[in-house]
Amino acid sequence: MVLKQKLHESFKGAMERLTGPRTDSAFKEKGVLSVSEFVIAGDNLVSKCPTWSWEAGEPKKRKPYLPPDKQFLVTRNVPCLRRAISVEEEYEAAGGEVLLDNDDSDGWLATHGKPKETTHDEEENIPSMDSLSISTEGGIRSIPTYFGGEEEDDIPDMAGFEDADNLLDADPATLQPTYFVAQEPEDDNILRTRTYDISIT
Amino acid sequence: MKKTRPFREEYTFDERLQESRDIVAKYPDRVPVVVERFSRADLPEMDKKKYLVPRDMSVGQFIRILGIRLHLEPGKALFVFVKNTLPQTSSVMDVVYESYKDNDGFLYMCYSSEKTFG
Repeated sequence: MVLKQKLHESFKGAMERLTGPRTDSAFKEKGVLSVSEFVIAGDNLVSKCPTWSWEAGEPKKRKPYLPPDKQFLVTRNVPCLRRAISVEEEYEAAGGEVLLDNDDSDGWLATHGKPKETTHDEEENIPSMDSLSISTEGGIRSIPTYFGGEEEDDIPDMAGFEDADNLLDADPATLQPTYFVAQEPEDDNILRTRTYDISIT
Repeated sequence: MKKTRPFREEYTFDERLQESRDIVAKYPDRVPVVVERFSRADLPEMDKKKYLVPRDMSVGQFIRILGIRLHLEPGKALFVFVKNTLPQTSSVMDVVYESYKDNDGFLYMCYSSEKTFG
């Protein structure tokens, strides 16, 4: 990446030496600015959007064809409220990608999960009365435990709990800890925003 | 990867119109988008070109998704054109669809690594 940048810089430098700064306007044809247009546009930007300002930059790197105090434009600390990674996470959370009607590998790719279809086919989900049949076999049986039936043995005998073995007061799990451990909450709901400096040269 | 023909050459106008009508009727909260590579772009071809995108999704989010699908290396730019202009990334797909959709009912998008044509 750094090498690429260096190559680009030296190429740009060579081109600038060969062609010289542009003086005639070619914005409409080529979308490029001449030096005076750049300064005018920059002045405009600074007056309209006060977060932008002109910078002089390092004296060594100054371009002679630009005013010394107007070498490049910069706006600082532009907050980035959402990171690209969070877009991806939200995308996955929304259901990611779903292939639809992919019979001939020429189907639709639905982003953000399976789309809702129009509602007319939801009627099919209503159970039909015709298909409901009430079971007549078996009849109604009484549930013995409701009526205090046979199973008396299930009632625990309180006498058994008074054995010394059953006492739990020495269990370390029930002892109060003598100190508390402070824990960082994992999700503290603080949005960590990155800020960027953007410059136009 | 096989060379795919442009969507508009592969199907007739009536076929396309029929398909877009069907899919919009079936999924009213989505817009049908055809995404194709600009022929001279040095980017891979996408395996899917027909997308059903939520109407409330922003163009920027959609471009980001295309970037993920293309497995772009970091720092590689991706520009998406609609009718030869760059749509604003903050605009919502529904708005772009309604103002730029083709007569056949599809929104055509074209991606490139360069931000200008030619």
